[in-house]
Amino acid sequence: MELAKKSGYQFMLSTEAFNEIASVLRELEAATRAELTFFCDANGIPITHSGKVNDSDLASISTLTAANFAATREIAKNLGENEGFQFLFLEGKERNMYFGNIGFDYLLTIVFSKSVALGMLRIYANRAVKQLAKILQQAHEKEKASETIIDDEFTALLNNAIDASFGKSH
Amino acid sequence: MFVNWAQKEINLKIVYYGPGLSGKTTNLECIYQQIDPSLRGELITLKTREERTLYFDFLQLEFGRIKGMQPKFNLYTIPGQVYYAESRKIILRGVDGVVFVADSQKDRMIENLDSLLDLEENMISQGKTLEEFPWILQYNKRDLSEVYSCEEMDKKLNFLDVPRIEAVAVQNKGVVESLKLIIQRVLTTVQEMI
Ligand SMILES: Nc1nc2c(ncn2[C@@H]2O[C@H](COP(=O)(O)OP(=O)(O)OP(=O)(O)O)[C@@H](O)[C@H]2O)c(=O)[nH]1
Ligand SMILES: [Mg+2]
Repeated sequence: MELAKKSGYQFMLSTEAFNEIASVLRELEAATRAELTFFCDANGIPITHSGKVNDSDLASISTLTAANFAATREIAKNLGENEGFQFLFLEGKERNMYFGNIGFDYLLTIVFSKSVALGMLRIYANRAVKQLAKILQQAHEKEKASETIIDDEFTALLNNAIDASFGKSH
Repeated sequence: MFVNWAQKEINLKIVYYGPGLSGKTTNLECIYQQIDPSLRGELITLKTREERTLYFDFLQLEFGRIKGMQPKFNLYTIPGQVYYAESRKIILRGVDGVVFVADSQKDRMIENLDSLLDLEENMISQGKTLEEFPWILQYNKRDLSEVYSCEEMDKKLNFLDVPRIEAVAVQNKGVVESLKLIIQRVLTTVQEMI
């Protein structure tokens, strides 16, 4: 499943799809007692999460997760696993991490305590991945790209904001 | 570009490309130091023991709310060393704009050209071409003595007549200007696309 268009990659995620994704994550968090679940695109852009984490940390974790996933996908290809690995699992002292991909375009990550059984986690994670795949499939089919957000006024305002953020010396 | 309507976020990806040691990481460090700290995330650098970029550097910038939306710029550098070709392909995925950081030193011109060719090939494999894609040239290391003049640099590298900026990244010169220019180019392109 390759949802994003190859050229001029851009995607607008509707509020409706967002809410559906958020609810899948909340259910998953509750069922697995996860510390943190988050959902990001293959570029590492955080889309939504469930659990406690600040925005800046989330941006870093998502970016690194996505990069890690992309690298393992290339490793898989080199080993002749053309579909990539189904999921990744990392084991720590206090907590474990599970990464599952939704097609090649999105990632689901779950951080959970060592006390949670991996078998159970995998069952719930698999279900969530299937639900997310369906939501995203529909979101990509229904996407309307017509809404103009970035116009001349937007660009001018952003330029002012950028100037202000670097001080007057530039 | 990824727009999250529920969160009112617009995410754009800008990649700093160019040969090894041209100053890509230095550009990000300079932006990190100069921008209002409340507008940036952490600077993530994945490097070798010799301080060379191994996979990428990453820095996220925000500029508050604009017409109700929150634009976020995700800046990446690629590893310039020839060996890391696969990593460059990964980092380039979904890119919205490129700053090509060229090394102005005469003995680095072949590396500049090789890297530009590598960029072109990687763009084509994403279904994009340098003719239609927003990118700019940064002629870095203007402070050194054995450098080509900007006109000579233009002749060798700027065959598509893209905007170019002179820079001395270690002295913060030309870095913020390059960032502003690429953002402008990216927004213009997005505007035309929608
Ligand atoms: N003289 C001078 N040195 C510079 C300038 N910009 C960067 N440097 C130096 O060049 C060296 C390499 O800079 P980096 O920013 O690490 O280069 P890079 O492009 O990220 O290199 P890779 O990660 O290997 O691709 C460092 O020692 C910098 O201090 C400049 O404008 N003038
Ligand atoms: Mg570097």
